[in-house]
Amino acid sequence: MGIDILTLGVGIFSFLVFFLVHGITFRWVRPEQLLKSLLGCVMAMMGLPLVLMAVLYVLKAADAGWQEWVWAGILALLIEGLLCLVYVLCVFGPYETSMRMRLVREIARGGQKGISLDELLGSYNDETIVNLRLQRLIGSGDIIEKDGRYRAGHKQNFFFIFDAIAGVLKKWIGGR
Amino acid sequence: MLYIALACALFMASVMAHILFCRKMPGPGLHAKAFVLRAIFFLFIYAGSALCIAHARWLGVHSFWGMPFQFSAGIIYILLAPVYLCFYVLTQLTSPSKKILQTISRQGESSRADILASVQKEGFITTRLNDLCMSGCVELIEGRYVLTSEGRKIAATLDFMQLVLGRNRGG
Repeated sequence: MGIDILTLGVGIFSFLVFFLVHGITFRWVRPEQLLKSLLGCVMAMMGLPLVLMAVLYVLKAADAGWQEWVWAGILALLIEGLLCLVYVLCVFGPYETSMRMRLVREIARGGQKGISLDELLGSYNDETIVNLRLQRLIGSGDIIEKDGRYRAGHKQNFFFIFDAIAGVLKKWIGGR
Repeated sequence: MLYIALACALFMASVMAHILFCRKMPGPGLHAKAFVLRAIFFLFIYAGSALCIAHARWLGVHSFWGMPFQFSAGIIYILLAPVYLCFYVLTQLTSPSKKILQTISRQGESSRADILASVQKEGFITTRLNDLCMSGCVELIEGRYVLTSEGRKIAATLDFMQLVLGRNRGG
């Protein structure tokens, strides 16, 4: 088998293992533990492609030099990492945190006759939004709560890192 | 490694082409379709170049630059596209979590009421409802929000995801 196909296979297989572990264990993860658990799960699975590649190297599964095997391991890791990132950013993240997705589900409950704004706000409103996010941000350590006052936990967190990258992009686009 | 370098260079080219397109377009907007079209165009260029390099055989398959990772490089290129789009969306939107963190870091310390006031000021729900109406997922009929067929498909997908993931409704 070609080393290229093997690399792809290992990367995709590792992601499928991550997805399976995630699908089983995340049923019981509370919102406040979500970010930490997700990061932990991704990190724990990062070693898998390297281990699989080492096993395949010992089994001589493909005709390739050691240098190719090393790069195959790195690329499999990259493919798995990117698949996890795409899954978290485009599938799990929006399902868990997107307001639009939640609004669609709230409106769906109204069936054919739909739902008025007041009815909608009765089940999903700014307080719900703040409560859910405070739970998550406190759980991830990004915010610390003491005596009903909230202050920043980490100086650098995912939001600021993502924001910094988006800021650079925005500058290039022209600040629109 | 030539394939990886080529895929990365062409991905950067598609991003640059998209940024130039966005700079020229008046008014805000996601322009996601414009990026997807450019990414597909550059993917075809990658596929053509990879075929030419493989057939020319001027690089040994065991040499550093000739390592045969054509498909892996192509998949990396494809996976980078949604990642870029996610970051691009962040340039256009403010999420409630970001707003909360901004409020807290600006004031040093905030009460729950301060945080709630800052979120209320943004009008997140109404802007999202308007977005859903504009995208054709939701219709406003006689003061009531109703899902269109597109919206019902999304709701069914979300129900299926809830079944698979076993989690409560997010938001």
